[in-house]
Amino acid sequence: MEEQFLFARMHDALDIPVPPGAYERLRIELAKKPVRHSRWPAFQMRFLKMGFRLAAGLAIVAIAVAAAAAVLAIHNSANNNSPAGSRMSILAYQQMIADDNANAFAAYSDPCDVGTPSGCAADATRAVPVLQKWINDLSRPDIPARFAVINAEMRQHLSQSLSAQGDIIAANKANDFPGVARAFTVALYGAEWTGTVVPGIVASKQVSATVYTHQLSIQKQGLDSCPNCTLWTAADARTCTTNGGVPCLVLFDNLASDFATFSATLVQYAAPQSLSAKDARVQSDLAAADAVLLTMRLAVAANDQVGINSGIDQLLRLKTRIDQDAGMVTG
Amino acid sequence: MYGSLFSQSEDELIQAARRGDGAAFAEVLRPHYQAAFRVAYGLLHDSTEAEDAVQEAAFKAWRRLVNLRQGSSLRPWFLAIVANQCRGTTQSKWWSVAKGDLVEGEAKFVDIAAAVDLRRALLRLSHDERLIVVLRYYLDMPFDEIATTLGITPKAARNRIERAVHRLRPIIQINEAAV
Repeated sequence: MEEQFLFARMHDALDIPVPPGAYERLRIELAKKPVRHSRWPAFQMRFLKMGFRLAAGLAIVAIAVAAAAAVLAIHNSANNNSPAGSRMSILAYQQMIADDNANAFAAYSDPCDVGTPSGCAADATRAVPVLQKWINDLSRPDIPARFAVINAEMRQHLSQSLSAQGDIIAANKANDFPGVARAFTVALYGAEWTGTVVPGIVASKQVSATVYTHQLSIQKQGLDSCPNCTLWTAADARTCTTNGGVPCLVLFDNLASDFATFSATLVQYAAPQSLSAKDARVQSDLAAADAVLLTMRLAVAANDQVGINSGIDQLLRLKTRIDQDAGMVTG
Repeated sequence: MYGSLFSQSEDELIQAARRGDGAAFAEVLRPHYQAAFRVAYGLLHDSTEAEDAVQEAAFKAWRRLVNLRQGSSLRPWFLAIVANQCRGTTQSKWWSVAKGDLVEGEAKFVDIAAAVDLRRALLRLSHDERLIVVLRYYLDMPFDEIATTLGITPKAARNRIERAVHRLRPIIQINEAAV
């Protein structure tokens, strides 16, 4: 009886028709922006030896920085001897991130597509001070230990995004529209990553060992099957024009989304004290993978195939490490 | 172009969409559009926001089409993306609770107070609880499909529904008494 009543009440309270023409508008939008690789039609291969060396060097530096940040975080987390009150509270951190995220979200309101690149520049101009403020917030010395690793990753994402906003503005000024599109691709990664991770931070709570292990296990299984990894390892993915019709940018987004979701899950379902050391290892592995992805995104935007391939190889190695370290928890 | 699309199966359309055919992707989404809108509206309680959320989710779905396993049904996968899209926007939508706004033309068919109360009660639920209630009681979705959409077992879906309904029970009972 209650079931029937609920069905009726819910329909009474919520039923409204789909707005007229809504599907048609979606169809037109999809036709207008087919897939993002159409943003730069001149998607030509360039294998610059120096470019590869630079990308490889940057990747190593980024991994080292991420690893150092993670080790520090692990150390702080494991030896959290700070006197009470010296760190920001979990709640205050969550509120700060939610506010910064909402401000950044509000900065993007102009159309930004192939036809209106000036909209991208207008968005970028508004985004610069907002992202700078967010980065400043993340640079506070009193970040709660629970969020130390993700905080360091977020700072790197936002810094890359901030730099790309500057590139958008400059490219737009120079009427370099392919340049706007390339920079936009890089800037968007920051928004996509935070879009995945911020809800995890905001909803973060310490859970029992059973819940943590269960969540970790789901993510581990996802990474084990990893259809996106399989696509990348296919021979034709090593030529970035297409991979069975799927451009590298799309493949990258999917793969990056898998790793970001893993990180977001570990933050949302924070490990209990008994598993904190093992959790720190997995988080450290994920941070290293994230550093590779950040460099790889630049390679994708620059159409640097060698840089992309190098990133794939590093990611696959890190995936094995993540799998092993997560296996230490899930058994 | 569209004549040939109508004769294609969902799998064929998905394959075409994976090759970058936007029309094929729009076409494969067509039968699920209304359900997607209902999920988004159930979560956001604002028709413009709901339409925007479905549109954004459609772009994400297209970019993530490689994630859809061969032979899997598109509907639960797409609805999960819609739900995630709404997750990010719901937090800033609390003002709508206070407004308790009703869509024009709707009021004459329903008990306004009861509808507003139920909406308000729904907005007090967590995103996950609200989602499962919307899937079950607004989209009339069976437990198996709810489970697939949320990536949980049917048993867990039942448990979650029970918990959410338990939280809604006070408001339901008040309304029931008033009917």
